[in-house]
Amino acid sequence: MKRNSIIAALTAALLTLCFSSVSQANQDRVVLQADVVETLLVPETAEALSWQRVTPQELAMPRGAVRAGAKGCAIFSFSINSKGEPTNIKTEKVVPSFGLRRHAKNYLESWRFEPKSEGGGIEESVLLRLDFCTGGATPKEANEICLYQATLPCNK
Amino acid sequence: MDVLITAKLEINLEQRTVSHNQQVLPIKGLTFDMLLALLDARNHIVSLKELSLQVWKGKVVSDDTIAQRISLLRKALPNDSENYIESVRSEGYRWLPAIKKREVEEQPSRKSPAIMLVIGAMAVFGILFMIWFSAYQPQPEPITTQQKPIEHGLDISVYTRIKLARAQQYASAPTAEANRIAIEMYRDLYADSQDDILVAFGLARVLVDNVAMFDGDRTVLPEVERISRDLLLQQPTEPGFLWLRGYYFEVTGELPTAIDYYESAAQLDSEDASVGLSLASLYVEKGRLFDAMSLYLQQISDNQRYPLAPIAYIFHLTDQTALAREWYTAAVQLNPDNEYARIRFAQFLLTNDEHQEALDTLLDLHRLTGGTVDSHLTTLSTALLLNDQQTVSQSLRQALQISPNDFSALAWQAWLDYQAGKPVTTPLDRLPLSEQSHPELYISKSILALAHEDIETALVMLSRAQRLGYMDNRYIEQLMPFEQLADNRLFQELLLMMQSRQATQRQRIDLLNIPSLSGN
Repeated sequence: MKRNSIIAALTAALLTLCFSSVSQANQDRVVLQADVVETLLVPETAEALSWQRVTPQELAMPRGAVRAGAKGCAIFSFSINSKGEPTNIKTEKVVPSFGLRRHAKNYLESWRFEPKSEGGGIEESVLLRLDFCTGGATPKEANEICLYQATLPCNK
Repeated sequence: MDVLITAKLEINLEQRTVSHNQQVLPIKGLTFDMLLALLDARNHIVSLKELSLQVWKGKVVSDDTIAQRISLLRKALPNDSENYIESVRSEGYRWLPAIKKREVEEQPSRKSPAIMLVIGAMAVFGILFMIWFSAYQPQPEPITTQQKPIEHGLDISVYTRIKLARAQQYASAPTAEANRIAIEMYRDLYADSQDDILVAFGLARVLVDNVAMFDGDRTVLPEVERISRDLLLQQPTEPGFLWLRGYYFEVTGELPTAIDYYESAAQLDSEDASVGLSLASLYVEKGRLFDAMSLYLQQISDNQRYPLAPIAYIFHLTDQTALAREWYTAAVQLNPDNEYARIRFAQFLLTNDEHQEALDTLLDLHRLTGGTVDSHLTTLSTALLLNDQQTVSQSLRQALQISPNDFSALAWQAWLDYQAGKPVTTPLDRLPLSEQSHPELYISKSILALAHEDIETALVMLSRAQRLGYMDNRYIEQLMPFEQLADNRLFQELLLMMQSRQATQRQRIDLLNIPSLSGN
């Protein structure tokens, strides 16, 4: 037993040494993983919308929010107008309220939609939750963390 | 009659009521089903899947919908009952307090041995159950926010607000599909909150829209009657509710009553566009073109435009051909799928002997929207003039497919059968009409009379139509069934009466300041 643990400790020390030298070679960068997850609350599915989002295609943490280190959740109600732009954006909930509110709202304002059918989309209201998360070692891990966060109540 | 007792609640399974201290709680519909599903599980966890099966009868619902329903149920329960329903993360929900069953019905005094045996067995089972239960579930655990499933920390009223906004937006979109979705949305909202006047008003409105604009199911009209009456009882001077009542009477074919309601609504709120437009369109039907035109000119919609097609129709009726053509063209260009504009434009082209153009504009419409009964019947009368038998029979088939009992479609069918030497199946007394009915229906009745070779009735019907306000003599002259009456004195006189009415209206309209279209 004792011998085993000594071996384990030695291996660990060796590995740490190896990795630290490798990361020193990479000039020791901090890679911040970030992700954004959307949850449609009303209507319950994106199929029920007469619009589809064209900008952005994939959600990503807005640069301003990354710089500010903003993370948390925000629930917005808004209408998609006849031009496919979000209007009447109302923040129903945002946690934490300081810091995230502006970044989240700016992000949503930049979205654009296109009607699904040729006849055009119907001006419609939407209730949407956005989760902004940082952390995790890989993008996949960051996404998992964010998906989990999206299941929690958006409360303080 | 079975009653369940749990905590201090009494749940009556037969009457589907929940009471607390002798007071009935507002738990009904899906919320009641939700409670039952939880109680049925006898303090076991009910999974989300089971809940959607039991409460929504297998309809696919999201976890959120279930969470909302649980939240509604929690709110409806008495104040001290927050801990009755436990949320088990990603599994489901559990009802915590003990559940007992009570037979309220009088017990028969003499019990048969078999029943006694069953009751005995149940008692033993019950005692065993209680022992197991008390060991298994001693105290309800306090619920932390962490245990709650996805509710997003939002108040349920936010969901309701957005859902109502969506229903209103879909109700305002002018397509049959949007109307169908709006009806679905309002039905869902109405199931939860029947007392919400905005929801009730919206539901009644989309149901009438469905009948009035999309040849929908008329069996919903009694429901609309009830809702619109209730709303007016609550707020007798609300212009919107007066308008809704008028709209109901317009669709059931009681025009003077409808006009009365619309006029009361317009007096209380002269700005309301839907009141103005509804009233003006009935004025047109009743031949009050001047009143209609004055109203239309007051209505400038959100995009700063006059109602183009209805104004064009007034020009068309008063024989101002150039203006009518200009306004119709603008209307069709702006809204190519507007059925009213297309039908009236086609009728206008027909009276100007532009038969092929009339047919083309209707076929364009049908490519876009599939058409309505009226648009198919106008196509039919146009194709008759072009001697295009295939389009004639196709149009009739499509009109009857949309609405198999539509009176005008049946009248045309009867006349075509008569022409083809086939027996006429629709009897002349098929649709009893009154002084209140739409004048245009008398034209259809006149066509039906001609199919029965009853010229006298046909003329009586035409004269009623004229007296009630119908005045499109040029269109009547274009309709094939009336060709045989061309030399009839009475017929000629009726057409002249329509014409003179147009002239009177036109003199008054000429005094109005009509804006030019290019400046509009």
